Amino acid sequence: MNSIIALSLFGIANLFLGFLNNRKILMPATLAFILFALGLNLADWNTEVLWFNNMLRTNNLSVNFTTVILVATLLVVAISRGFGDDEEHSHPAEYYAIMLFSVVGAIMMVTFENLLMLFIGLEILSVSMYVLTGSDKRNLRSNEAALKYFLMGAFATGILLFGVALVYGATGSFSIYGIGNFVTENRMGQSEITPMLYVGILLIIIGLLFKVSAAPFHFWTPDVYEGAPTIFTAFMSTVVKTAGFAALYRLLSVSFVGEYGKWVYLLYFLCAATLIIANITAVYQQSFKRMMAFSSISHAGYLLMTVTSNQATTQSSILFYSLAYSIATVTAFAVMILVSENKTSNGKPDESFDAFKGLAKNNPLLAFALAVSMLSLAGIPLTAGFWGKFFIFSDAFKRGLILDLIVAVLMSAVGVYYYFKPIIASYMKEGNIQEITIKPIYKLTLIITTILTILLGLMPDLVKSIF
Amino acid sequence: MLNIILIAFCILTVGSALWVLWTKNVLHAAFALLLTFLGVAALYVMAGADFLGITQILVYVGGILVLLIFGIMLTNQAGNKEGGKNMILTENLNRFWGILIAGGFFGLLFYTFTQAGFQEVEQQHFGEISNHSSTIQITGIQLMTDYVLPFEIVGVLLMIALVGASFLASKNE
Amino acid sequence: MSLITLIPLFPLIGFLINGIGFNIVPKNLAGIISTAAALASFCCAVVLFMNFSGEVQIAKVFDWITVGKLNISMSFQIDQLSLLMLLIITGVGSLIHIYSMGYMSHDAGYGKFFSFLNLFLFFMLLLVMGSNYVVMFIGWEGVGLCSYLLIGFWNKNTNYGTAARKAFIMNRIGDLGFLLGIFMIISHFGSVEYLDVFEDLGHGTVAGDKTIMWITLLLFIGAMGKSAQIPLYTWLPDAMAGPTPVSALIHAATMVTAGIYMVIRSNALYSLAPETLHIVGWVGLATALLAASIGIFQNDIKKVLAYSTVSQLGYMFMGLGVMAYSSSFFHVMTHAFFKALLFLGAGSVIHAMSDEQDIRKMGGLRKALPITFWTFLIATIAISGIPPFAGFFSKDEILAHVYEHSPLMWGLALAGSVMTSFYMFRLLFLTFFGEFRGTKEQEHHLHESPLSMTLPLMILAVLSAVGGFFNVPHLLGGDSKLANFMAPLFAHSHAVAHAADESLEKTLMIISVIAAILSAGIAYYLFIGKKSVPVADSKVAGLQKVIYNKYYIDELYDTIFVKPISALSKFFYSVIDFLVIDLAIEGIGKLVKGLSSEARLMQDGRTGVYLFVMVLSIAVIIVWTLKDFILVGFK
Repeated sequence: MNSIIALSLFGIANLFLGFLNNRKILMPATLAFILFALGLNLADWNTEVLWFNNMLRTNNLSVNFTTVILVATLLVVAISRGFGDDEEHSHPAEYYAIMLFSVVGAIMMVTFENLLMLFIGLEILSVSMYVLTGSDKRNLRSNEAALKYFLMGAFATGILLFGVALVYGATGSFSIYGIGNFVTENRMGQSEITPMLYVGILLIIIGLLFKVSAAPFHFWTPDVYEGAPTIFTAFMSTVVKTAGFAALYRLLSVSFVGEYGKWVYLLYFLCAATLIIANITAVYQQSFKRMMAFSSISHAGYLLMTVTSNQATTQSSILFYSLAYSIATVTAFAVMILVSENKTSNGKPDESFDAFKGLAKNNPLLAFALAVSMLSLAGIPLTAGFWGKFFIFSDAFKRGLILDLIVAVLMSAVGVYYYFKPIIASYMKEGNIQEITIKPIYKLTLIITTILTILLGLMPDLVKSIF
Repeated sequence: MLNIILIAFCILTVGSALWVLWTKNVLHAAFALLLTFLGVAALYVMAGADFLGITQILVYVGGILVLLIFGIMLTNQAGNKEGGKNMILTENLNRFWGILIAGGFFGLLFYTFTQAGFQEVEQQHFGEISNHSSTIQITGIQLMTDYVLPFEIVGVLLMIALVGASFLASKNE
Repeated sequence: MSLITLIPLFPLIGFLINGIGFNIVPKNLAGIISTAAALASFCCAVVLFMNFSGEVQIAKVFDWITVGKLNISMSFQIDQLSLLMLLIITGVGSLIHIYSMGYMSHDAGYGKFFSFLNLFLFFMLLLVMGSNYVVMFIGWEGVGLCSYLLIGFWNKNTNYGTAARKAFIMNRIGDLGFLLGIFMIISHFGSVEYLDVFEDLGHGTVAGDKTIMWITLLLFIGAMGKSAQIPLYTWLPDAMAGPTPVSALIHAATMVTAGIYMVIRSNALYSLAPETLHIVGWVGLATALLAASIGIFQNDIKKVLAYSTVSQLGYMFMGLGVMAYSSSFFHVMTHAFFKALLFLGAGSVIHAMSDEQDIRKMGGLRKALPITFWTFLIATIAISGIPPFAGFFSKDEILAHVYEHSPLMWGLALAGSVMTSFYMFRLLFLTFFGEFRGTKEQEHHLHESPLSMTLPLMILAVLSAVGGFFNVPHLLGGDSKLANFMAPLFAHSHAVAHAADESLEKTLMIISVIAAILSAGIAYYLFIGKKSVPVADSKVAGLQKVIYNKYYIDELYDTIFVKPISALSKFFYSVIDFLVIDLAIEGIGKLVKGLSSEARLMQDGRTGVYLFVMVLSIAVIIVWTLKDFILVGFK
């Protein structure tokens, strides 16, 4: 809660900082703001508080999720380079302010106690994303992506809101625990079951599945991820996904757990479908960015698997996976931004795998960071991603989700194929990439994320024991 | 008597909504939408949600529709210049599947609501709501007490919308 | 920090120095650092071996991960098996490092090569030292990765890259089985520590339990991938694309025996699953025969050795299948010596021939490369199973156990052994005897390799010659030292196979020796007496052509697996990205015609189609979930 208030104020402060004619101050200020919010957030550790008449609940779970979100944001801001390269066209103050505001929405999605707050949080996050997606105004693809995202996002929001209304109608409560109690009693046969409740539950789930881009609601993802400026793609694929899954998990495990039998098959099959569609389609992609979009969809599939299993360990699995995934994704995009800007084709950054050819020769750090992040995303042992997958698989195994497990294991083998493409390109292909100059903070971020990925791969208990 | 009015408004709402779907002229669609909104607002009022009805008119008719019509009028249609009319025409695409899916979806929801048993639910959860008092007062009080946080946080949402809109609409200097 | 943890640490440090300081470490130093790391590990292993008391030692490095009740720690286990593996890996590894310093000296990627080699050693040591299945799995995946990197080391050639990818993918298929096996172990035993699992087996588990069968089968699938058994063996011959020292170290002496190590390590499980053992034995036999028959007609010196490796691995699995665990391990050991020697010798030949690998273009090399020739000869005799060299003892032990299990298997295995002897001597005669068949320039260039390459050859030759005496059976007046040393490992197994009775064993031994010598004689007659040289590729015909082309198994896999998958993938690609959308656009195409290009960019039907699919799926989901209600409603 404190971090929500602080970040809202900081967002406004950022807008005012934009009036100063010194753009260089914006990025350090934003970093400081996020760190401050992180501190406020951690101060809530081990306290369980309900805020404002049961609107929000802060507890260790929410603190953990908020931490993951803030860390991801911190990393994204750290590789944003102050948006200073394009002096004429960029509006760093607005970008940073919107990012901070959107984090407010994301934090609300992990702390909500009342469905109203979930809805508002989701809207804050989504509207920010629409704007950020279209922020490269001279790029037609960016404009198109923003409009597409907006159209489809509005549609999904409508679905979610409809679902909330139906659930409210059936249960008479907005509070997730109130709904949970009703649903459980309902199961016990104390009142007549109405299909309205089920339709409501399904619509809410579908609305959230859209946000986390699970099949068949993933269509927007490749277009939007590819069209958006890369830095915001990184932000989208980490923060939005984490917040979306946190919300989904809280709803399913608290409110709808009484009707587990009704929604488990839905998620069971959607999970398998997501994994198959995402991974198979990713194989044929030639653009790194588009591949990352499908990769993001496939990770939604994996996360969906643990949500489906609904085990006691699910929350820590989601947390660990989100953390591992966010770190690796930010690293990958960070390398890609540098490489693609270095090599342009037709005046646009070259985002294909070919752009990475021969990267290792003159840029060993970039190539190594890229390789580690790709290995982590592929789930190769000794990286954080391996343990993320491991925890998720063991959750699914405990619940006996055999189909999902088989599909997931097969698809993670398919994943190796496309995740290795950039590694092969950078280490084993010939190319002429000169040494790319990297700003110190950018370099530091890359080093930290790479070390974190390996460290978590060696000792997952380091954070797993906290979650 | 009340029933007849209700049915009349229903017909107005549904009929104008169909008009929105069928017409090719976007301007006509916008005006038909006006009727739909009005019809919905009337239905709200008749359901006892007077505050919602007023908001509907204020926001949708007063705000959104005006914006829509401005948008249509300001859109420069180079192709239609010689006719002297500034018309935007659309096409109805994929009619068969569209109708099929929409019809099916409607049937599904319709079925759901007929099975819902609203009266039971209402008795179970909401107790007696007095039919005659206005909801405006109670809404206002709730917004400033129980729901003050959402009320305030919506400010952030509006802020983003404002900043985003001005940023996206501004010309590159 | 105990001695145990130091062993894997040295190669890791070596890798880090060479890997991070890729362009900084001077070339000469890189090789020395790596070799020193390998030697240091070897020394530690020797000290550990000397002080070994017979008690199992567990060295815990750190608690790794705790999931509920399951606790997985990063810890090492030192017992008879891991000690012996350690000695083989670090010993042969060190020799190959020394060899590589000579072999790779002209290569641009010298430092990179050594850092990969060290990384491989590190993972291989993890694999054999880990005290639980998860650590083994980490090593397992790690060596797969290193193998991938090293096969594709000369990545300028795309074929090599493809070979590397093939190896990796085939291994991944195996790993999938291994991983599932580990999951089953976790769910069944609640622990992955070897000691806990085997302890648990001691009480409570019924012998006929199907779970054990599934676990062992899944683990065996992992072993199939790593140790190149049917049907996952085709990657190994292709893996010869890597530098020769890599072939010697990874694809002959160490990594490919990981599957055997794993089965021996899990012998307590396997002994409880006779069905699995049956499969293991027959798969091993089939592989041994198939690979040996392919080996007869190959003309690439390294390919012959590769098929020979596959075939020998088949023998080892056959031994495991009849529960002759210590005999199989004995063969792992002797095989490590003579196969590494053969590969290194082949490397020496290739080095001298300026990268020519076709034996049809060699011949008469014994004069130019005397040390290589003599060591190669020893290895050939050893692998053919002719006494008194190492291969004879180990192979014969396996054969004796196999006979006791099933005479039919023995007969087939003997046939394989005859083929082995034939193709090995064929290789030897074609390469080192007769007239030189290469170009003048090559002949002029022929030279014996430097000392750094011949020294490992000589050491390995000595080991290949005397390696058999580690485990001389009772029959020949020995006391089976190795088998006795390893005996505690099999305490949990219910029955370790007994040797056949002595007179029978003696007969079998004599038969197999005579067969091997005979087939060597045939090879002599054909390739020295008649001086025949294999014909050019285009003239090969009939059955020989089928075998020469490896029974077209690669092509078969390509048709059965690769093509359908890529077709499926193309199908998705085209159906989702083109057909669905394109068809929609086609259908509405006439209407869209009038719209301007900018409008089309925005409204190319995509968003509409996306939304359409979404709504459709929502409707399907709801109908499907509510099907009970709706059915009730209509009744």
